[in-house]
Amino acid sequence: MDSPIDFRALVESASDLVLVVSLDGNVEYVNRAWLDAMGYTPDEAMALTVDEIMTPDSSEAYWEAIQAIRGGATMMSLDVRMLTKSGEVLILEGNLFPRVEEGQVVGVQGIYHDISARRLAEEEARRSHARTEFLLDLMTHDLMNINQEVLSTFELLLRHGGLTDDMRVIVREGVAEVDRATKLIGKMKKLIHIETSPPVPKVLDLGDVLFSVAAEIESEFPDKTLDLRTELQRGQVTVLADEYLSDVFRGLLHNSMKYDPSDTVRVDVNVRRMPRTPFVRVEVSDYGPGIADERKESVFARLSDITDRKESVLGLGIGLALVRTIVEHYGGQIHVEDRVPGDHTKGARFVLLLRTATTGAGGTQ
Amino acid sequence: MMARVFIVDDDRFIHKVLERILSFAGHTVVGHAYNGKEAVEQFLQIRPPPDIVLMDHRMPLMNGLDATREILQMNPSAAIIFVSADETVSEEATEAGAKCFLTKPIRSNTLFDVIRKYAPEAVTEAAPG
Repeated sequence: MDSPIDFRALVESASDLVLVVSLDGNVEYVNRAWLDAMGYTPDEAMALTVDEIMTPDSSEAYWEAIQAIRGGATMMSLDVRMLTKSGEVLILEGNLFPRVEEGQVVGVQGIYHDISARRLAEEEARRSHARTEFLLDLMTHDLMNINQEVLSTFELLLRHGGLTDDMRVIVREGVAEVDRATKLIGKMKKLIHIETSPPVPKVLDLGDVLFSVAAEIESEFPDKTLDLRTELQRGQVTVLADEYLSDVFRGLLHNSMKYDPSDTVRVDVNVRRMPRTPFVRVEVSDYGPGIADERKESVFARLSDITDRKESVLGLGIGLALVRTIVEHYGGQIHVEDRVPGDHTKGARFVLLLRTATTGAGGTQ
Repeated sequence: MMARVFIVDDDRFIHKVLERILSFAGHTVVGHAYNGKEAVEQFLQIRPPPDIVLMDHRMPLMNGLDATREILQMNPSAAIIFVSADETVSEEATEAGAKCFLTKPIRSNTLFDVIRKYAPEAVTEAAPG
């Protein structure tokens, strides 16, 4: 029975390129898409050989493919570079099959998809990424050196006996600014690192991380006390994370300490396993000024979002952008809501879903 | 008596500020090198050997890791302290034999504490501070 499909018409009208060559490398058939892409007329095409339409490196690979196909093999996703009539290079991805007549392999038929644009975009993205990383690395490294020089100069001034009290205050402010710049550079480096070459997650104790960070944060605010209230204990809950998990809690607790004007800053941390899910839910609630609805999303601006918004870097800081990037890298989620629903002025509640390191459903941890 | 310190860094201003800070605390800078190769060559010439080597990492001709390995091969008891902005080499630095790794920018008190810790025989009195 005749096939209901007109294969010739199908191939002729395909948008992918079809090329059939004999085992000695002569072109035997090309479809309309191939002619259009390569710029040859049908007669010209029929006079071509593999060596004339492939770049030298692709020609070599193609001849190897012909040898394999002669033995009956098929080749999937073979990358080849063909040279158009005007000399441009097309990057193609092809699937190659043997052409069989009377039980004998007599040629190679291939269908190719033009991936030139995709490859060029990938190469440009790779180059751009490498350039950005190089420049960022160079800049942050040199900025840290400059910070060292400024910091040491300020410290020398502070150690100098002749400085007046007023001048001492000014110099201390300078030291604080150097610290701020150092932290900002550190956060930028972490953001870039997580987005480009993230570490492999490992099993971490949530309590260890939280309590270590809380102690560090309290020492950063000598005039304030952190009143951390939680039922979480060390050794109770483990999550899949990495060394950046401490930056998550550092970012959240630092914000609470910074924006809550009270001398004693209360922060509640509630942790519970979510049954039938791979997540642990962590709620970090503070009693500070809260976050207005219109800012709830923008405080988490991603690196790609903040590149156009200088005020994000200089004003809001990138602390919460870093927090979001880290949590999402773990396959988790973060969002912020009002601690008291409907009244943002009573404080913020950050809700995190972190991946638990233990399997199986469980109750409250 | 305070420590005799050898500074290795390709940034000349770093030499200047570190020397000022160290001198303020009574320590003596006994040598300056601006790349790892110079550091290895000079280390041999400083007599007696320095109590402490402050070693940067990213430098021309030879980096801090290689210089550390070579110096420690010549003198296994050398006390080398890494002072670098490149945290990515902190583990390698300690594996190479550095006593510790300090990330720039460092506070002067941190530097004095580390010198006290790794050159206790040289530091016989408390640095001002």
